[in-house]
Amino acid sequence: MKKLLLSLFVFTLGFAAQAQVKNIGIQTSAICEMCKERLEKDLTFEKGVKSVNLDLETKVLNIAYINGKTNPDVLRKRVTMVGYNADSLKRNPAAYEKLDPCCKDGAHIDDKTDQIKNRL
Amino acid sequence: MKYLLFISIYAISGLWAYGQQTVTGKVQSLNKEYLIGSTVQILGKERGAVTDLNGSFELADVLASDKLVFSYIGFDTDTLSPIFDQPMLVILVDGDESLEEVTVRGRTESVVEEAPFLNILITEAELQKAACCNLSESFETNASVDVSYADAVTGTKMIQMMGLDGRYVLISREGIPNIRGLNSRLGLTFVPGTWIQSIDVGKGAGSVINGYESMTGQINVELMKPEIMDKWYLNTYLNSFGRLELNANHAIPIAEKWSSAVLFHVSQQGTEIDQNEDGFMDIPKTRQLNFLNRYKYTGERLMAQIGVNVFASESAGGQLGFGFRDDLSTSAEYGYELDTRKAELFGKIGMIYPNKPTQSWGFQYSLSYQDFSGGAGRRLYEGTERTAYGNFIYQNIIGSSFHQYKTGASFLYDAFDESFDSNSPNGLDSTFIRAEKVPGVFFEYNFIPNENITVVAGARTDFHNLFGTYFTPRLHARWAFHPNWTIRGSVGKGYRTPNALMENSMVWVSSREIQFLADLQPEISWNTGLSLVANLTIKEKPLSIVADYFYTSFVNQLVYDQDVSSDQLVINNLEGESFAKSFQIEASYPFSEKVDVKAAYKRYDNLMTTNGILQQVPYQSQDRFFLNAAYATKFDKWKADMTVNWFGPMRLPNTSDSPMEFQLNPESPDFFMVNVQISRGFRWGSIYLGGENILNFKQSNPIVDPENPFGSNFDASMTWGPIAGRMIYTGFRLKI
Repeated sequence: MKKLLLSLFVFTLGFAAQAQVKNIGIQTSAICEMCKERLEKDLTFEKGVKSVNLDLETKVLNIAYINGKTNPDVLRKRVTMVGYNADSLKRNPAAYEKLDPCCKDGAHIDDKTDQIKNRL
Repeated sequence: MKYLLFISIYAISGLWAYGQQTVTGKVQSLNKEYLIGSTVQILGKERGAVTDLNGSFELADVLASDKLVFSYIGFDTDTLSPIFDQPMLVILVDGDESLEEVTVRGRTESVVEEAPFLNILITEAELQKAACCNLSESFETNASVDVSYADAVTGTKMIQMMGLDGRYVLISREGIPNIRGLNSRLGLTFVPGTWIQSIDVGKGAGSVINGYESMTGQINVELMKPEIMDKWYLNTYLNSFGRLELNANHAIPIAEKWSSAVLFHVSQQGTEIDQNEDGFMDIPKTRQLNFLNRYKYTGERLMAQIGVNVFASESAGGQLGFGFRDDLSTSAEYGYELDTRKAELFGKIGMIYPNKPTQSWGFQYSLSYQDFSGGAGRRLYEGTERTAYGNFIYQNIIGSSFHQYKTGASFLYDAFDESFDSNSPNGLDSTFIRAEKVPGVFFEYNFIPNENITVVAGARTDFHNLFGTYFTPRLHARWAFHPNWTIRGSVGKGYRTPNALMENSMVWVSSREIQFLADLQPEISWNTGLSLVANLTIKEKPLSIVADYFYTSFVNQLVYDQDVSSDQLVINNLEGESFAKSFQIEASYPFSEKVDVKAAYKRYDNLMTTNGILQQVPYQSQDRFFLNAAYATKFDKWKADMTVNWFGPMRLPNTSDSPMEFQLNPESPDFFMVNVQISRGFRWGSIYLGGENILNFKQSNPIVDPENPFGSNFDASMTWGPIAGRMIYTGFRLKI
């Protein structure tokens, strides 16, 4: 049993290493920790995705994916289905409606910048 | 999200929805700018709030024991205890250039920091490390609760705490004592694992609020909450022994303040397994139907719930071929049978006062009926238990929140009607009928001078109609004498009424004559304990160490003595001494973001006077090791787990009067048990594959003289290790 699992593991690793891993940065409309969590979680389970990280400062979603298993268009489309803009693609309105209030337009940083601007 | 209310850590003290208050405040930067859109989260819970345009936040239903995590992009995250009596002013400091990821990822199992008791919280994620099957197996990845093997025929797994039988632990379901009385031995198997949201394990005598029965500890099980559970949760489980399980949880939102949930379980073990080829099933065939439905109302001030739980279960074991419908008293095969049914109505009602946040009251109740029918060989057992329980708790402060108290009254009605017929000339042939009526009052005072010290002094007096007045004092203290070090101490008295027949159902499966010499007396014990918890940082990762020592001394105990003779089980009140000393040291450390390791060593010195000699309790390993290694990738896409248990030698009952070929060694050999599991997560849930006892260790010859089950040497009650060997299982969890 142990040997079997080990060989299965090694096999999977070997297979993954052979495939070509590519990186992509998608500009999103994410605004808070909750958005980050939701996007990263959803994309983690997307076929062909190796790792996901959203930089909240720049709102760029960095994805490492296996070339051939998925492609940038599919990934952008998925981001819109979670409820966020992806580069030039507009978010899916139905998915956006389902987001928590704190993830919707005007809930966070934009107001903050305005506020600070006003104060200055 | 805000309305997904209360997962109560206080539930261990029976306080459902009490002590929950609203926290308000503002979040600012050092130069007094309000931080808009910063998040406030309750540590370890999926609830939080976001600050508005004025930097203000409001977070309802916060417990004094909660930790609030304040975070904002570009600022250092701060973790603070809530302040209730005035708005909090939180100042966050600009962080480094490197924006470190803010991850508030609660550990799956941890010591509850603020609790005055040594209290370990096991979350759903921890429970999923072992997919099977019910509450008795939920502790397999936990070091404080041991799972043991009861006997070679009935297949019951038992739990132990501090090396003492699980019957000395008060096991409650959401604060209501639940697995007790006639159900104390089998009850764990009627709480399906997928119904459980979290488990609190409290070591040492517990709070007086929940009664006098927590002699060595308290285990409180929180079931899936209608207001926060997934709409649908489906789970199947199949194992190589032929066990098939289906679990379905469904949340039904009714109105804004009303929610409901249905929890359903059906399982069957239809295959006869006899790996050791002794002609006896290694585990009995079983089938179970279990259903729970509850309704919950969550208002501004009033909270209430009402629910029902019904189940029916059948088991048939013994010699191969013995079926569910076969008659024990005439069957040619030696059979074992136990059928049980239970119906329970339970509920709670509680009130909080928004303008007097320190004050609340609550009432919890339960009405139940359970019957049992079965036996082993020619021995027949019938039993019924009717229980009514009510507990009223009022909570307030004296002057300031430094002095808090809880007081109230409880009532227990517990009626037993049991009969046992040995169908042999000298065997036990009796009926046992008793009705316990126990009104009681309690008072518990909490002294909390600052966040580092908590002292809880409680006492209760119960007026038992059969055994007189029980006075139960308990004292608990906690002192965080250093930011990373906490010491806790406890002392308390406990009582329980034993149920000798059900608690010895393993001895039914033997030729031992049951000698009932006792005049029924309550069991009485004193438990004292000391523990030290250290939360250190090694290489920027948290190393947590828990060391504890508990001493339990019995004033009276109903002793089940197998040492007098290999032909007898002598049941009598303790004559002489009986005590248990337990020491445990446990360390857990995340070696990387993905790998978490937990290791423990346990030493039990449990001595009891049997056959006139003060000696080690049988079937108890004095030394044990425990190791759990967990691997998980982000969002649990891949998870792997391994648990290793090492059991040192155990003393076995004296069999020197048996014929030579049926004598046992005085000690069992030591052995390892290894369980593994791998799971893969998806958007919709997960699939899992695992193995239990993968080293395939089995107790050799668990049954004495299996060829002659109706003869005078037959004995299947002397079990110290697993009967069945390696088991592989698989299944999936689907969440919508």
